Amino acid sequence: MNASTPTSTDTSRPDTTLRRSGSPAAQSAVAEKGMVLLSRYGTLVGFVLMLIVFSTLADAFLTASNVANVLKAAAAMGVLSIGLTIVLTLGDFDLSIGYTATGAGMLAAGTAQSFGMVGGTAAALLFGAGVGLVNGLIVTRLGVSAFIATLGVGQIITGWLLAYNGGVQVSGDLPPDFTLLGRGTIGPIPLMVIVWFAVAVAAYLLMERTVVGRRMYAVGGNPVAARLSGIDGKRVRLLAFVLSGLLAGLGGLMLTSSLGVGNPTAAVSYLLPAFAASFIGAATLREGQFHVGGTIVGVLMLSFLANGLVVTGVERAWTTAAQGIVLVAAVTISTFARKVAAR
Amino acid sequence: MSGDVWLRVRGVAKSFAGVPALDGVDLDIRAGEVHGLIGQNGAGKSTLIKILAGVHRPGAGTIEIEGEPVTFPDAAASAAAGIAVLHQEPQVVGDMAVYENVYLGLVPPRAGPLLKRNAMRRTCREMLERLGVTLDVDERISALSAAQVAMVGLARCLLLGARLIIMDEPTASLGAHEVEQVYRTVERLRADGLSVVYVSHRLDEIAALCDRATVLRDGRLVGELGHEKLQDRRELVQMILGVEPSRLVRAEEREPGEVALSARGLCWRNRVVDVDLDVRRGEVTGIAGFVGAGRSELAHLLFGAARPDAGWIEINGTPFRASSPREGIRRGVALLPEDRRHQASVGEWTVRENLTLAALSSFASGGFVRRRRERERYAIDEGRLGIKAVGAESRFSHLSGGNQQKVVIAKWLATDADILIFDEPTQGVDVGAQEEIHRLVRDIADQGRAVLFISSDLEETLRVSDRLLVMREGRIVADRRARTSTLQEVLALCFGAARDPLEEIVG
Repeated sequence: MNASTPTSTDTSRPDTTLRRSGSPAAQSAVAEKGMVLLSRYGTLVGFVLMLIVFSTLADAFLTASNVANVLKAAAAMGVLSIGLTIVLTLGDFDLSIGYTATGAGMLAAGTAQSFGMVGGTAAALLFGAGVGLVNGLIVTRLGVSAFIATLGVGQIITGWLLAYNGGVQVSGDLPPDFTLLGRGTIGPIPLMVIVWFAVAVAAYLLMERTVVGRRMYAVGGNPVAARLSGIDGKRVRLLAFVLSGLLAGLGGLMLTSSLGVGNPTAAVSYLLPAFAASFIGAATLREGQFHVGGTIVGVLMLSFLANGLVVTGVERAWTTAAQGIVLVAAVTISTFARKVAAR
Repeated sequence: MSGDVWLRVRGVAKSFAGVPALDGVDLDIRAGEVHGLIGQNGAGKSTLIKILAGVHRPGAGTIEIEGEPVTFPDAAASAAAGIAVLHQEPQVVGDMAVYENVYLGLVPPRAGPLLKRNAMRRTCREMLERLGVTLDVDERISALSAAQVAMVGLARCLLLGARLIIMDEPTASLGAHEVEQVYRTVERLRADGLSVVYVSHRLDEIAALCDRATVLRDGRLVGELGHEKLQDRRELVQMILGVEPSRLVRAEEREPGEVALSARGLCWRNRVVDVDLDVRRGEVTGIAGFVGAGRSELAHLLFGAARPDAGWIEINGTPFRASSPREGIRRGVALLPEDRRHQASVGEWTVRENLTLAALSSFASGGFVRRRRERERYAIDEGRLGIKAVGAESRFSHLSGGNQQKVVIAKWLATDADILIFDEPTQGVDVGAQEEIHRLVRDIADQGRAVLFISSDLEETLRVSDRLLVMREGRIVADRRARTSTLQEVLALCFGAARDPLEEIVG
C-alpha cells in the first residue's frame, strides 16, 4: 500500500532482494509505483472511457431511463455477486449461487401462491441461508473442498428443480403485491436498485468496519496467523457461506418478482458474470483483493458494456464475447496486481 | 580408506542483501570418505550445501572436481557433475510406489510412449541392494518409515550416478533404532567408493561416522579435523562456539514469583516426550536446544494450538485443556510463533490491523472496530517498543524484520496476556533490534509476567534467561540457573554428548 516505505532489510528474504537488486533501485521503485497505480485505477479509467465512448456513439445510452433500466437489470446479479465476494475474500468458492437463487425464486413463487408475498419472501431467504449453511457445514466440518461441495449442492438443487412443480414455471395465483419488489419504484429509482445498494452498503460496513469483517479478511489473508491469533476460522467461513446463500436467495427473489413468474432456470446463468464481476473488483482500487466496492464496479462495468453494445447496434453475439474479453483482461490484471502486491 | 581429493572448494563466499552468509570457505572431499560438516544454526552450512547443489551461485571462489574447475549454473549441472543431496525434508510423493519415486523427475526406461515398469523395478531393486536395504519396490511411500523414505532418497541419488551424496541432518527426525539403519548405509556407501558429506548437530554421530570434518562458524571456516581429533569433544565444542564464556553479560538475578504455567508428563506424537515444566512469574525461563528438538511443538501445546496426547497443563493452578489458541488467549497465554511471516501476520495488511488482530474485541464497540482506538494504541506502542515505521498505515510486509517482530510483540501485549511464549523472536532480526527485543523480554518479566523464551542462539538464551531448560529429542534434559551455566555446558547438553563433558571442558 505504501510504496514509499524504505525497502525491507529482512535477511530472511534473500532471493527476492537479490533478484531485485539487478536494476537501479530508484528506477524500479517508480516502475513499481506505476504498476500499483495501473492495477488500482486501471479498471476505473477503463470504465469511464467506456461510458464516454458509448455515449458519443449513441445518444440513447446515457439517458435516465436507460441507466435506470441497466441498473435494474443488474440488481439481482449484483446482490449475488456481493455474497460471492464475501466467500471469495475468505479464499473459498461458491459455485451454487446461481442454482440457489433459482431455487429460492421458484420456492418464493410456489409459497406465495398459498401464503402471500410475506410467506414467499421468507421461504426464499430461508432457503438461501439453508443452502449456504449446508455448503458451509460440508466445507468446514467434513473438510470437502468448497469447489466440489458447492458444485455438488448446486447439482442437487438442479435435480430438485426438475421435480418441483413438474419442472415447469410457477405462474398464476400469485398475489398482486408479489411483483412489488421487482417492479416497484421510489420516484424514478427502481426498488430493486435500492435494495441492491442497501445490501452493498451493509456488506461494505460488515466487511470493512466490523470485527467479523476483519476476522474474515484475516482468515482469507493468512489462515494460520488468524488461527494463532485466536480466530475460529471454521465459524468465520461458515458464516460467509450462510451470507452467500442468503444473498443468493434474496437475488433469486428479486429476479422472480420482476419476472412475475417462478422460472426453473432463471438465475442459473448468473454464476459466471458474478465471478467475472468479483474478479474485476479484485483488480479495482486494491491490489488483487476481493472487496464489495470493487465488485459493484465490476457489475456496473459488465452491465453497461452489454447495454452499450446493444444500444450502439452491435450484434447480440458480440455482447457475450465482449464480457468474456473483459473478464480475461480483468483476471490478467488481477493476477498481475497480486504479484506486484505480494512482493 | 579414502583416496584423492574429489571435490575441492576454495574461498567460496556468498552474501544475501549485503549480509555475508559465507566468507572464504574451503572444503576438500576425498573419494570414499565420510566428511562431517558442523556448526551452529546460521554458521553457513546450508548456504554451502546449496552452492554445491547448484541452488545458489557463489559470489566468489572456485569449485574443482577431480582437478577440473566447474560451475553449477543450476541444480541439473550439479547433479550431472555427480553431486546429489539427500534433503532433510524427503522429496517424495506419498501416493506413489517406491520405484516410481526413485524415477521422479528422471527419464525412465521406455518403449515408445510406454513406461517399462519392470525395467524400472529392476533398476530400483539394484540400487536398494547397493544400499543393503530390502524394500518392496511396489510399496507406497506413505506406508514407509522415515528411515525407509530416506533410503528411497538415497536410491535415487545412486540412480543419478552420484559420486558425492550430501546428507542434510539425515537422522534429525528418526528414532534411535532407525538411526542404526542410516549408519549402516553410510558405511556401505563409503565401502562402495562414494563420498558423503554428513551434516549433523549430533556430535556423537560425527565422531563415530566421519573420517574428517569441517567446522564452520559465522560463515567462516574454523578448521578441518581428522577422525582422531573429532573424538576430542572439548576442542570440537570450542571450535563450534568460538565465544569466550567470560564475555557473556548476564541479567541480574531476581526473586522468582509463583508458578503461572506448569505441565506434567506432556507428550505429543514423538516430538514432545514426557515433559515436566514450571514457568514462574517475574522471570524468564529459557529453552535451549536445536531446531527439531521439539521446542516449538511444546510451545504450541502450552498455547492450546495443539492437543497433547498425554499429560496435563495448569494455568495459575487450574487445569487447561484447550483445543484451540482462542482458549489459550482467553486464559492469558500468548505465543509469538517462530515464523513471523506465515504464522504471526497478514503481510499485506497495515501495521495497525496487525497490531489489534489478537484483541480485536477490545478495540471495538457494538461490533464495529474503532479505528481511532487502534491508532491511539499504535501511537503508544510505537514509542514504548521503539517501532520504526512510517506510521500506523504502513504495510506490515514493508517493515524490517526487527520492526515486524516489535509489532507482533505489541499485538500480544494488547491482549493483556500474562504468560508470554517467545519462539525464536530474534530470527531474521538485525543486531540492534535483537538487543531491543532482549530488553523488552526482560521488561515484560520485570512486570511480574511469566516468560518462556525459546531460541537456537545459546548465547542469547543464556543472556536473557533467569532459568534455563535444555531440550533434546523431545525431552527436557536439563534445568538450571542460567547464571551458573556456561555456554560449553549448555551446548554439550544440546548435542547430547555421550559423556557429560562438563568436567572435561570446565574442570
